[in-house]
Amino acid sequence: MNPARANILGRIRTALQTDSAPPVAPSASAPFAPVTNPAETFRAEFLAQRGEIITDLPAFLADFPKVASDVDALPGNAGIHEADLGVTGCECLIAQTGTIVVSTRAISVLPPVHLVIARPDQLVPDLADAFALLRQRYDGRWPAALSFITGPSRTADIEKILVMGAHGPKRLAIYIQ
Amino acid sequence: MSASSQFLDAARQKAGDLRHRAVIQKAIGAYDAKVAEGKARFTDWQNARAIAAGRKWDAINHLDRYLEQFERTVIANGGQVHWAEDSAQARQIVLDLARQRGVRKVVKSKSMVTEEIHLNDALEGAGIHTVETDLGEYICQIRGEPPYHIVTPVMHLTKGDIAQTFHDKLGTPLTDSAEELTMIARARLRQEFVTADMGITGANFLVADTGMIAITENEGNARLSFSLPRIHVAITGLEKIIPRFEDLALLWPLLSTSGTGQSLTVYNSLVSGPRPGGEFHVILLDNGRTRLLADAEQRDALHCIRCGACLNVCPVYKNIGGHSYGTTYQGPIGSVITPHLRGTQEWSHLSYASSLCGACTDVCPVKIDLHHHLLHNRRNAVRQQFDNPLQRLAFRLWLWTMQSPGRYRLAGKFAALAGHLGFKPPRHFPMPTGATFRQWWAREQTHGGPASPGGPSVPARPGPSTSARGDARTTGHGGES
Repeated sequence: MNPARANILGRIRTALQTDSAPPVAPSASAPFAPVTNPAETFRAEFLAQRGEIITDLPAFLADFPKVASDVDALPGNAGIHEADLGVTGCECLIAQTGTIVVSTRAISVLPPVHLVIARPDQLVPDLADAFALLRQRYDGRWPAALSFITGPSRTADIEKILVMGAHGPKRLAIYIQ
Repeated sequence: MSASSQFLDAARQKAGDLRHRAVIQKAIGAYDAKVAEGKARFTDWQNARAIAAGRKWDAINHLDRYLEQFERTVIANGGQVHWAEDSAQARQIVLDLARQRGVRKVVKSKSMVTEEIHLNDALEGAGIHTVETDLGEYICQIRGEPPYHIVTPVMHLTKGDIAQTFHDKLGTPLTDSAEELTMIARARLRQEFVTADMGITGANFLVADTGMIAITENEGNARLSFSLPRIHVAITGLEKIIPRFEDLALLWPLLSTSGTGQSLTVYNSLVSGPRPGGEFHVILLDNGRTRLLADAEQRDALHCIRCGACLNVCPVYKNIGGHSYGTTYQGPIGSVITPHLRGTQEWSHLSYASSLCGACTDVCPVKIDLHHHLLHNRRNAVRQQFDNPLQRLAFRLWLWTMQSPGRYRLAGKFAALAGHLGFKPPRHFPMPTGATFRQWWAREQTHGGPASPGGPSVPARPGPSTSARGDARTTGHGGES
């Protein structure tokens, strides 16, 4: 058996025999203000992150001949590698940051446009609520990957100039049923 | 050449490079504006820091317990955990995994730990084609340069520099558009993602209670790296552990705000297992981190979430740039941890790459006492006698001078003499006055009025007329009463 594990844990236990002073305890003051109007906040934050809110679904879909989908109600006609659009559901929506939580992998990152089909009851006020919801839904049998998506893919690596669509979708759209 | 003299040479050259200065100031100016907006989204930024510091303190001070828990939960989720004591072991684990599975191409998302262990050279040396996919890292890779900054790898380059690099190395036409440059990289890297056998990522956090690695990114290349290839290997320092899943509700916005000023980075992913039919491996790297852990005084340096805020605020970093340090981790945090990770004797000179202004400590989102640790490293180097003998002599002399009023008086006269002789310091320090305070005071007592300065460019007193040449008498500044 490789001794690395035992050696590292041994060094850690020896090191921790000397205590270090804990930091000053925080006060009860919350880091963020409570979200009072989740629907309004989600809308504002999602748009600020350059998301698109779709109201006319058929008109939106008409622009995409090749669609990959994992939503039963909207069957796709293409694989993820050739699709112009990836359609997925979501785990929840977070108002505080305009975030969409998905448990899908390639379909929500490989096609150049990602459309999320959501329900109003999937909206939670803030990040802490989202973590509580996911814990309740999945504790002990987690999906292999969860992604918290806040707007379309972007980069500012070159001179801090914002460019949309670095590697993931250039457009992120949501249709709330 | 020693690391210390390389550092001094590089720093001296960069500090005088006005083009470098302009590029960095523009980038950091943009960063500062975004971070100010980001912090405004917190109702209590200081308390957010205090909460985060508490979570990381708990994690680091019970590291053995949380790492064992992490190992159990990852295995229960269907992943595998490997332990590496040093760079060589970590490289060997990756090479063995790759060889046993016939891997021929690896896509990598941004990971400073893989820079630390020089993984790319090892993979290429074994005949495995290795491609960096983060835009900044990709540019570094084709230029053959290390990252300039832990968060913004090509902060030092302009659009023009990058267009020229792409033109020279990839044969693409020159362009002045950041978007076109990004699209060149996107198109080329697409092909690499779909044909790679292994994806290598870092991790921003290791969640002990749910067995997940957390990855924060804007581009989507990390998501592609862990979604498309059959094998996902995450390589990470063992200090990235956090106790609970719920801790991320604060740590994610804190990292995003301090890193780029975003309320939340575009993709925050949690990976707890392989894709269908695939494999998921986590490599936990020590490589000197347990040495830092053993130093209880500086243990909090392991709280670092690698946001880069201390680099961006550091007056020394802004002047000498990221490459001068010659380390994987630059700026104040790099100067604190590198002597522990790579040896005090060779790296303690970095403790002096600081004005001790404390700006780094003020901005750190997990409240690492950075500037005091730089001072601790200086003390440690002296205790271990790794300091420069000349410097030691100078401090002894200074101490000896300061311990006696007579010697102090004499030293003041020497300084005044230097002023008379036209001594010119290499930088724009105020010139020695040519008269000592004591001489001025004695004259002041005798004449009962403002003293006539004893030499050229004499600040008569504290007051606005510091450029006055002998006109203190007429302007009357100086608070005589």
